[in-house]
Amino acid sequence: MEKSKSNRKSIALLSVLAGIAYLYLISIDFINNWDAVANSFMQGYHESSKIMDEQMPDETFSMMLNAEDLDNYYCDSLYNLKNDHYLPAKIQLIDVRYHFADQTEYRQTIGYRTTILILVCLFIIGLIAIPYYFYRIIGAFYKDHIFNRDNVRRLKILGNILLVVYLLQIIFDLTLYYYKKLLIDIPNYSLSIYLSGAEWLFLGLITLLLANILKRSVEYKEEQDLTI
Amino acid sequence: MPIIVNLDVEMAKKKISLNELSERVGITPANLSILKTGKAKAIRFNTLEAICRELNCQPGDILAWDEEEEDTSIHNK
Repeated sequence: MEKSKSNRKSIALLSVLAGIAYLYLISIDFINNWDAVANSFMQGYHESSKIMDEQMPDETFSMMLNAEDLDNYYCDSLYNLKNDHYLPAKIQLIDVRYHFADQTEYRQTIGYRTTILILVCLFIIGLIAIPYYFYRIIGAFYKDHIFNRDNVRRLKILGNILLVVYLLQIIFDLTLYYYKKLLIDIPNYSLSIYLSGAEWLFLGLITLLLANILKRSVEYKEEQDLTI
Repeated sequence: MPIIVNLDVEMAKKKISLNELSERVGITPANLSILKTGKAKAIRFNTLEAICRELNCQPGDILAWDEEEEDTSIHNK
């Protein structure tokens, strides 16, 4: 009885910590690039009013750049106020603001923007579904209903959602890459495909592995229950 | 499973009810029913010993191996 109580306490504590870690995981990019996030919100607000006034909107892009010529790696320069010298520099990650020239150009890229919007919506649904299934599993564990087929099913769903979120992230990154490539070409640099979200792949595979282990445990338990 | 449980036959021979046998053996009627209907996956030696003692029979009287059943279960796999 005492053991079960302490087990429940540790499950409750770990689930709270996992919740905090999840919030940290999904908000880390916003925290690290808070200025870009704030700027995007402000720009989105201004752009919507521009569209209403039938003006051409601007779009902000974050770009990861690769040097095209490695012999000329530091092809830019930054001014050093300490000694009034210019420092050879290579730009890596930059934010640029793109102004659409006319309606034709804006309409040509509508496919990319629609795809990105759909992907973001699906991504948000996935981000809501992950803690939902996670806490259903934790709830069952807390009530001591650990070895049952419902938990195996929930873990499998959770693992598959994590893998789908990873795939959405990859498709999102690729779509954004081709969108930027269509509009922007910078001398001395090439655009890099910035693939992210490997943590979703890792978590998804670990969850599916745990689901298989739990399935095996359920089979053992059923066999044990039918041993007279 | 090719192992057939003939507990019902032995119980009928000794004219003993499920509840009475479960009480004497020291297991629940539900578990004894699982054993009787052949749904059990395994039986502990001490359970088998208690049943044999109460029914005054040999393990072979309760358990039997059916070759045909084994063939079907292998084919099903």
